[in-house]
Amino acid sequence: MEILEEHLESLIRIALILFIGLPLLFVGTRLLRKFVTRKLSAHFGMIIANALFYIGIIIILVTVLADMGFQIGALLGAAGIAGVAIGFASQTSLSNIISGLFTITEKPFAIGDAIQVGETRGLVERIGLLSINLRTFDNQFVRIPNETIIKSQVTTITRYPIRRLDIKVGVAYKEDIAKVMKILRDVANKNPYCLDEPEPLILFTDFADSSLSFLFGVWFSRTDMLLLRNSIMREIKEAFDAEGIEIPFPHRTLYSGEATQPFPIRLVKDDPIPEAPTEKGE
Amino acid sequence: MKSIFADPREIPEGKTGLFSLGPLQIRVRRQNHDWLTLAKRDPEADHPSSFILSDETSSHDDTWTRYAFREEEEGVSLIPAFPDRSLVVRPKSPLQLPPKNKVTFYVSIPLWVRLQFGEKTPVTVENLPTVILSNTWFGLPTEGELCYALKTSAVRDLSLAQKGDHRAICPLTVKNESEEVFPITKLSLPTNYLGLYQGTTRWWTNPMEILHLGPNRPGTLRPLNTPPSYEQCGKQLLPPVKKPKEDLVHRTFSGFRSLFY
Repeated sequence: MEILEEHLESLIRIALILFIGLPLLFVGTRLLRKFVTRKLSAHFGMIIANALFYIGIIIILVTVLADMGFQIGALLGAAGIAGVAIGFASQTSLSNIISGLFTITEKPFAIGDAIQVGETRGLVERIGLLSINLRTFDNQFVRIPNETIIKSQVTTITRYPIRRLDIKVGVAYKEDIAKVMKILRDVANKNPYCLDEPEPLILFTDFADSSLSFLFGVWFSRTDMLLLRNSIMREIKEAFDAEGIEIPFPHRTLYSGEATQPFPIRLVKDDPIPEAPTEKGE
Repeated sequence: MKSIFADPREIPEGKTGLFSLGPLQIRVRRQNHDWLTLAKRDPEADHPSSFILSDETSSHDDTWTRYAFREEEEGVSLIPAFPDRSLVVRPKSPLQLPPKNKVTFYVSIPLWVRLQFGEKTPVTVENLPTVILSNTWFGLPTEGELCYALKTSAVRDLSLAQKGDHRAICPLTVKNESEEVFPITKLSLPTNYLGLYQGTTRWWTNPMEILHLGPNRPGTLRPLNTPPSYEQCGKQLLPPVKKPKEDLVHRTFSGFRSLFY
């Protein structure tokens, strides 16, 4: 009973700190996050709110420990020694934190952007001090350490409002190049997802092994990627079929000695085809 | 001129109402207390605006959209609307406008329609373009505005402007207030400031003015809040989405890089 009376004041103070301080910290960080998000960006909001939250938690913890009678100086001294040890053990984490700070300052992408890092493509869901979280287009969760982001080539797919879809098209050597280019231009004009401006790029690129090669580059609003890709590939095929344009498969021509003479083949209509010999030679 | 945008139409149970407007046909059917709708477009067709009731049943080949309301809504109506993005239009060939001169173009704008159910508190269920317009970009590849491209040109002779019950004519005057010749290659027309009027032979919008002040200065748009003077026009059928106030327009255009590109 005496002990309880002796510590009653401290207990009340600790209870007040915990029951008022913690909810205030939660509400305060949430409000700060909203404010910073509105004024700056979502990832700055997240970082600043997280920093405030952890600082607040440390202050509350230290205050509570002090009220409970712990020697904070001794604790901090121990924490310093532990910090050196932890520092050695957590070089990778520190590298990630510093890389994270560079990423935040440089702002190569924001939350909600579609990015590609190495072979991984996805939407940025979270930018943290240690890593960023991506949700891939087939709905997988990928965590990429910030150090990797700094060291790798990162492509922000949705940085600009419009993009170009490059399609390689091959047609048979017998086709009229001007006609093929006109058909491709008409296909682009008729597709509503294909932007009129900037104009589609139609380039005759190569005399390939089996085809005349074209690059057909059509511009689109970044939100129409799937709609455009699905529709324009079908429309190219339909337009080529309608105009009798051949899309070739790889050809090989055999010559029988002279470069200009074709391989001689004699077609014998009425001769019976000899049966293949069996294993027993019957 | 005859308008399809009239009072709500009654469609009895088991019947199909067919709204026709230019290339667009909308079927609305009442079946087992639900509403079924189907919109189809034939780019080559130009149906005069009409509404007929038929016994046509819903085909399995078509994908009908089904709506259920808490109360049985009576009456279906079509409400005109403008495209939901700015329109980019070009003159038939690039035009050079000398200093202190002006030119008026007539732009034929394909309307959109809103399909509404109910009379007292109408509910819009669909917002449909009569003509599917192609997307286009107005500005730089890194910054600009997604617009619709008009396939028909801005013409100087009203009789050459494309006609149709599903089209409205916008008189657009470009004034060159600068000291240099101004080449007009294409124009961006924000639809938010357009109101719709019913004339005797066509649909009209309020006239618009664009001022060119100099090569490195953005153009200024002045939507005029008056009916066009080319025909006897009735009252405004559709008000602009944004009120054409002078200061509002200026603020809006500070966000635009340029009306000309």
